[in-house]
Amino acid sequence: MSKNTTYWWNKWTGGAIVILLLVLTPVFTILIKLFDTPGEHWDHIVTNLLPSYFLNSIILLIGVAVFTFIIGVSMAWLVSIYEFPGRKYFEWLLILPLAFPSYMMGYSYVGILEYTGPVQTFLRNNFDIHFTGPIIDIMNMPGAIFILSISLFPYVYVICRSSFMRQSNHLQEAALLLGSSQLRVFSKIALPMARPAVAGGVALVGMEVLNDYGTVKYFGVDTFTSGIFRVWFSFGDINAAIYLSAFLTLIVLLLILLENLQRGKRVWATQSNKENPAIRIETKHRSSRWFYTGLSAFVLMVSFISPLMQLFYWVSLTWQNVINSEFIILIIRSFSLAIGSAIAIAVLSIFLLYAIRLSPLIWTRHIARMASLGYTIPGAVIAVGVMIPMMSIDRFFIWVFANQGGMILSGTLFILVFAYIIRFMAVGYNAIDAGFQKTGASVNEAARSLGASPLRTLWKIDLPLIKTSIAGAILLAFVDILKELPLTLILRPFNFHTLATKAFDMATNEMIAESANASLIVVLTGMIPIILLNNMISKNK
Amino acid sequence: MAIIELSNISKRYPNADSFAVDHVSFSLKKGEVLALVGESGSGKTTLLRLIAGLEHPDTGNIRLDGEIIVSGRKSLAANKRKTGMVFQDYALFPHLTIFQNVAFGLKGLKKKDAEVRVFETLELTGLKEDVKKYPHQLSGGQQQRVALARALAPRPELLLMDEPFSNLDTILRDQVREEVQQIIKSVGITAILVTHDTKDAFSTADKIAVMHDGKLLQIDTPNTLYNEPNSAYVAELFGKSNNVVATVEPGGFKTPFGFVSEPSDCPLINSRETVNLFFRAEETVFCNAEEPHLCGMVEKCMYLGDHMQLRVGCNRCKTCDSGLEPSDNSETHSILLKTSDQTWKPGDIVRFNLKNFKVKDPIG
Repeated sequence: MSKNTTYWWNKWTGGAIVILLLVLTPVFTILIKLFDTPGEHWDHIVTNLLPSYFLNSIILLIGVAVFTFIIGVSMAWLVSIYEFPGRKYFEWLLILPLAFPSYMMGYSYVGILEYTGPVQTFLRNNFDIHFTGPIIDIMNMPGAIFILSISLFPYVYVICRSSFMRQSNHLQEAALLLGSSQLRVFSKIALPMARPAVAGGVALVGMEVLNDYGTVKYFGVDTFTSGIFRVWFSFGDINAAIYLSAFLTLIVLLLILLENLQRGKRVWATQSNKENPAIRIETKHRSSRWFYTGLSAFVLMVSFISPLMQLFYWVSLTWQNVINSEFIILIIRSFSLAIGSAIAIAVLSIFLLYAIRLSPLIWTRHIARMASLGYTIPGAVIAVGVMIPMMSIDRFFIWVFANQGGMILSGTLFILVFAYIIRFMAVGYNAIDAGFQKTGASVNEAARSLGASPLRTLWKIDLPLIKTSIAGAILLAFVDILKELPLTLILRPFNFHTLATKAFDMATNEMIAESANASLIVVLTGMIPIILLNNMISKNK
Repeated sequence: MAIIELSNISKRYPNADSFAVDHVSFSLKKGEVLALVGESGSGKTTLLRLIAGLEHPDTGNIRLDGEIIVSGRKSLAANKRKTGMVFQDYALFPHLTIFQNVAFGLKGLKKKDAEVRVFETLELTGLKEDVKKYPHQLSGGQQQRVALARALAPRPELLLMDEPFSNLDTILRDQVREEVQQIIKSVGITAILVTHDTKDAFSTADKIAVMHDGKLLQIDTPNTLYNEPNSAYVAELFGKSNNVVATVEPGGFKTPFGFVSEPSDCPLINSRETVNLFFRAEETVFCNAEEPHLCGMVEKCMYLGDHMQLRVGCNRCKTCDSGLEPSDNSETHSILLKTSDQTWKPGDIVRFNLKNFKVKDPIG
C-alpha cells in the first residue's frame, strides 16, 4: 500500500503547472495592471489617439481579411481542382510568401516603385515615360493593406487547399451529376464545407495584422501596436501601454470569439474515411489552361519573386559595404538566439504534452492548450506583459543587494528568450502534438504496462518515434523567431541586434538598400522549412 | 486464492451521461481465463484499463495478488503493477526489433538472463526465427503473437487482452485463437480477455462475464451462461432466443401461438399471472395437426446456407384455437424457427412443439 500514490499527481503534472503559470505571465500582468491607474497620458491618448488607432486597426484588419480571402481561396481552388501546366510547382511555390516578413516586403516594394527602381527605369529608358516620385504611392493605408495581403494570403491558401483536398470528391461528383456547373459546385459545396477552415485562416491573418509593427510603422499608419510603441518609448508611460495592450488583446479575443461563433457546432465530416484523391479537371481549351498558369505565375511574381529580386538587386549593390566581421557576428548571434529559444520551446512543449499523455484527467488537455495562447497575443503586448514583472523583480534584487548587481533580468537576453517562448510556444506545441497524436497512446501505455517508468518510456519509446516532429517544431519556431520584430525591438538588450531589428533599423534610417542584406538572409532561411515540408509531403504521396 | 479482486468499481467519464463501468465486482482464481463479453460501449475495455492502471476508477477497490492496488484516490502506477497487456492494435514499438520489443519489459534482469527469457517466450509463440525483424515486416497474426510474447516475457501475475483477435481476418482468426488458447494454458497464467465475439469467449475462457451498459449482468462458466442465462439480454447474446409472452393457466401457459403444457419443475407458475417463455430456435420440433401443438404462419423465409430460418407470426389455425389473444407488442408474437426443409414459403401454416423452454418474469 505504501507504494500507492495519488492517482492524478506526479512530477510531470507539477512541472506542467509551473510551465503554464510562467507562460501565462503576460496575461496575468495585464489583468493585474488593469486595476491600477491608467497613467498620466491616458486622457490625452483616449481623446486624441485612441479613435484613430482603433479606426486604422479596423480598416487594416478588414482590408487585409478581404484581400487574403479572395487571393487565398481562389488560388487554393485553382490548384486543387484544375490541371494546368506547372500546377504541381505552383501548389507549393504559392506558400513561399510566408517566408517573406511583411515589413521586408514593404521595403522591397518601396524600392520597386521608386524613381530609381526597375519599373520606372524601364519605362523611362524604353518608352520615355517620366514620373515625379513613385509611380504609385504605397506609403499609406492602401499600400499597407496591399503589402500585408500579399505576404499573409498563404495562411488562407494553405488551410483552404488542404480543406479542399480532404473533401471527398464523391460529393463534388455527385453535385456535377445533379447538373451543377463547376462554379456552383464551388459556391454551394466546396466553399461552405471549407468555411470553418477558411475562417480559421482569416483569423490567423487577423492576428498577424494586429501583431505587425514594422510595416505600419514604415508606412505611417498608426495602429494599436504602433501606439503601444509610442506610449512606451516616447511617453515612457508604462501603465498607458498596458491599457492599450489590454484593448488590443480584447480585439484579438473578439476575433477568436467570432471565429468560434461562426464555426458553432458544425462539423462537416465526410462519411467515407477513405480519402479520394481529387481528380483534377483538365480544361479542353489550351488557352484557358495557360490562363490558369499565367494567373498563378502573376500572383507568385507579385507576392514573392519581384520583392525577392529587389532584395538581390540591393544586395548586389551594397554587400561590400555591409558584410563585414560585425555583420557575420550579427548573423551568428541572431541564429544562435533563435535556435536556442526554439530548442527551449521544443523541450517545454514535450514536457507539457507528455504530462497530458500521462494524466488520467481529461481536462488537463484543455488547460494545457492555454500554453499556446501566446500566438494569439500580439508581440508588443507580450513584451510589455513580460517586461513589467521582470522590472519589479529587478528592483527587488537591487534593493536586496544594495545596487551591486544592476539589472539582472530586464534588459538581458534571458527576458528576450522567455518572451519568445511565450509568443511561439504554439508553433512547437502544435507540431509536436501532431507527432504524439500520430504515434497514438497505446505504445506508451504498452511500455508502462511492461514496467517502464514514465521517463524511460518517454526516452525509449515516445521521443524516438516523434523525432521528425521535434525537428520540425524546432525549425518552424526558429524561422518564426528569426523574423520576429516588435517583441524583439522592445525587449532586446541595449545595442543588441538580430537580423530583423537590424533590417528595420537600417530601413528606417534611410539605408533601405543596405537593409536588404539582413532581409535576404531571413527570407532565404524562411524558405527552408517550406521546401523541406513540401519534399516530405510529396514523399509521403 | 483470488489473484484479482474487484469490488464495487465504477467509472464515469467527464461529460458522459452514464457510467462507463457501473459498480462492478468480481474475482478470479489463479490460472483462470475470464472473457469479458459485451457490445462496443458496454464498458469492457474501460474495465480492463482500470485493472491495468491506465485509468482510475471513481469508486471501489482493486486487489492484485493480495495487495490493494486501487483504493480511493490512491493507486499503484501502471508501471509498478504486475499486469501484462495485449493491446487491440498490438502497440508494438515500430522502431524496435522483435527481440527488443519482447526484451523491453525485462529491464531488471541481467542481460544474459533477459536474452534467455526472450528466446524462451518467443519459442512458446513460435517466432524464434524473426527476432531481428521489425514489426512492420510481420503479418498480422505474427504481430499478434509478438504482442503476446512481449506481455508474457516479464511473467506478469495477470494477463490482460483487449480484443486480441479483432484485427485478424476470419480464417486467420480461428487459427490464432487456438494458438493463443494453447499458449495461455501452457503458461498457466491468469488472464482476462475482452471481446465482443461470443465465439472467442466460448472457445478460450473458463468463465465468461457479460457486460451491458457498464453493468456486469452475469459471470459464470460458458455452459451455465448458455443454458441458464439470467436475463433476456444474456440469452439473446449467446444465440437467437425467442421470447413469448404467456399467461399462467391451470396445467400450462396460454401463448399467442397456442397452449403449452407445464413442465414438471417450474417454481414461478403460481407466483405470477403473466410470464415470458424463452426458447431457442433449435429447441422446437415440427409436428402434424393430430398431436397437441402450437401454430403460426410463416411471414418470411431466410436461406442461410445449411439451414432455413423462418419468421413465424401468430396466425392461429382452427384446430388449435385455444391461445392467447395477440397483444400489440409485436416482439412477443413473432418468433424464429430453424429448419433444414427448404420448401417453406411465406403464408404456410407451421405446427410445432417446444422441446425445451424456460419460464421467466416479464422482461426486467
